[in-house]
Amino acid sequence: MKMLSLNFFLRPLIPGLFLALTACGGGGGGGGGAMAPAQTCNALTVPATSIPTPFTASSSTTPNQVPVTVEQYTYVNYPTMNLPYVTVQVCHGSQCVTVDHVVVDTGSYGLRVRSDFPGISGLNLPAVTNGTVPVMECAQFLGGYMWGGVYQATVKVGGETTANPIPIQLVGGQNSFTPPNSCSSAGSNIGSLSGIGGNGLLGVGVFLHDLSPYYACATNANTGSGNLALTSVISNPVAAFSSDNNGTILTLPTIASAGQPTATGTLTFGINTQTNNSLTTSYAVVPVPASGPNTGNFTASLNGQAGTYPASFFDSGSNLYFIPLTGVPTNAQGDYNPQTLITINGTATSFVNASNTAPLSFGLLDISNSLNSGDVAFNDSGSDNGATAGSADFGLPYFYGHSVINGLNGAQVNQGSTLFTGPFYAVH
Amino acid sequence: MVRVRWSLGVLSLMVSLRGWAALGGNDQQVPQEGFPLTSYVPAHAASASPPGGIRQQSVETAQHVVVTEYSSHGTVFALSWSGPTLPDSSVFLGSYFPQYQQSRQNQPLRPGAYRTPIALHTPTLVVHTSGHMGAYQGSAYAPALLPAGLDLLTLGVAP
Repeated sequence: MKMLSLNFFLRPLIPGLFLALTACGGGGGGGGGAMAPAQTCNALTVPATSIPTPFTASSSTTPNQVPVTVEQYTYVNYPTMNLPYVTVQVCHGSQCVTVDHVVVDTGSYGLRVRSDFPGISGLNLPAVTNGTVPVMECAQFLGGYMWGGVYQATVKVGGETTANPIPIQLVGGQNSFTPPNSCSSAGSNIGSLSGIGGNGLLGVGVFLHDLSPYYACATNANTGSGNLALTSVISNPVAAFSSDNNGTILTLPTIASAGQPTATGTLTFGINTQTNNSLTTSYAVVPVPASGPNTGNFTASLNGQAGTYPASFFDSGSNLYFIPLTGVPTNAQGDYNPQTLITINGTATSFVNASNTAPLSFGLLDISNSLNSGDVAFNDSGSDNGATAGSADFGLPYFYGHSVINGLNGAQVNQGSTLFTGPFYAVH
Repeated sequence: MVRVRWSLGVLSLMVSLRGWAALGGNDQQVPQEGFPLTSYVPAHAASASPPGGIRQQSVETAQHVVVTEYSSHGTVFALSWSGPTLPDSSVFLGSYFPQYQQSRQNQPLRPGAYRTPIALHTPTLVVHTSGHMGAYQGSAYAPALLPAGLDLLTLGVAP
């Protein structure tokens, strides 16, 4: 167990917190026995969508790749599977903290770091405020929420650095307000080492901003309310990089069907900005809607399966395929467990332009024996548990043996003479 | 879906007049959302009101989540939602929320699978939620309250 630095506790992050410790109640949503400080959290209004001006990334010579490892992180006290880790640096001015084992998540946007990671509190990152009140965010995920303050930090990944500090989230920790019911009703608080399965979450999907609920919280009546500008919401670091800022390519190696103890791949920044990130014709490009009910999704059709899956997406932060299938056996937990490898083929079709399609192919195999053997990387692992009709979540298993491009919202990138404008996926 | 917008002042009046209920509640009740509702589509304005005496009405929360309730004989038996984030289930699941929370906690933790979809089937409550940040969708229903012979999929509710 890592020790929190003394500085962490002395930091004047939230004025009035110490005084408020004499009060009790009013926190809501918590439980757990601890007295919560009296607090008020007012919801802030954020835009429904962020529509960026179309942009083109310049060519670059900045080192634009960072290794991605799928492995068991020693400090996570349960066996993980298919969590892809990178190392990032969080900086305040010239002072930086290196945060290892940050999960790469193409299904979210923005950097979250656990606030109790050693050294983070010592950076004294400036808080994003609404008036004088610090802004808190409730990043909502299907399995739960991450609650924490919004701070300005310069983010470095590989050789890339954000041109300016950007809003990131520091999750968990003892210095937070209690999440209001409208946040905690999303499930468990997963903003922790065990909840994340790592020290942070690097959201590098196709969108520029995390428009989850934000709150102005205070221990007095002057909580504040109103609008939160896009410049104050948690944002995708890739778009803020000085170079190679139009998207990412996540590449993982082909691995054995039975699973492997580890796998090492690459996260490459930029598309068509260097010789190592060309959008060649080997990629199938699938533009996705930037707004509306199909935001970030494509329609999947799968051979042998009735109907289509109109709410489908690639997501490195989902550690299995979550796809409802008929005719594939499952175990008691709902995980697909065919005793010989089953391959399912299909097609991804763009909502934006139905002529833009990508072939889909994935395997399913019972991995229970391999899981017990301590393997961590699995390419043929899927589940019906949690799967919802009409939604095919192509999680990390899909990324093995593939390169998956996330073209940022507004990014204009050519494939030969064909111009694509993000958001788009491209796969090969 | 027809989307009707009113100014906030008119809106709050409309909501309190027309009513909005949580799952299992009377469809004339108004829950206290953590965020103000920014639009309200009453049953008569919905473009595709389902047949069989089922009443359908929608709200959009300030977080831009559109929640639609389905009621029969005044009781809300199902909900569906979609939006950039999740609706406040403590509001929309109403009296079913404690049971929902408990059932979620009782589900065995799956290794490293915290950011994955939810399919909760209990004898009294069924909830599905899927998607990713920026585009979530889901539905919930109470099996005991379902009108006889109803095909939930016609409402966009996952069975």
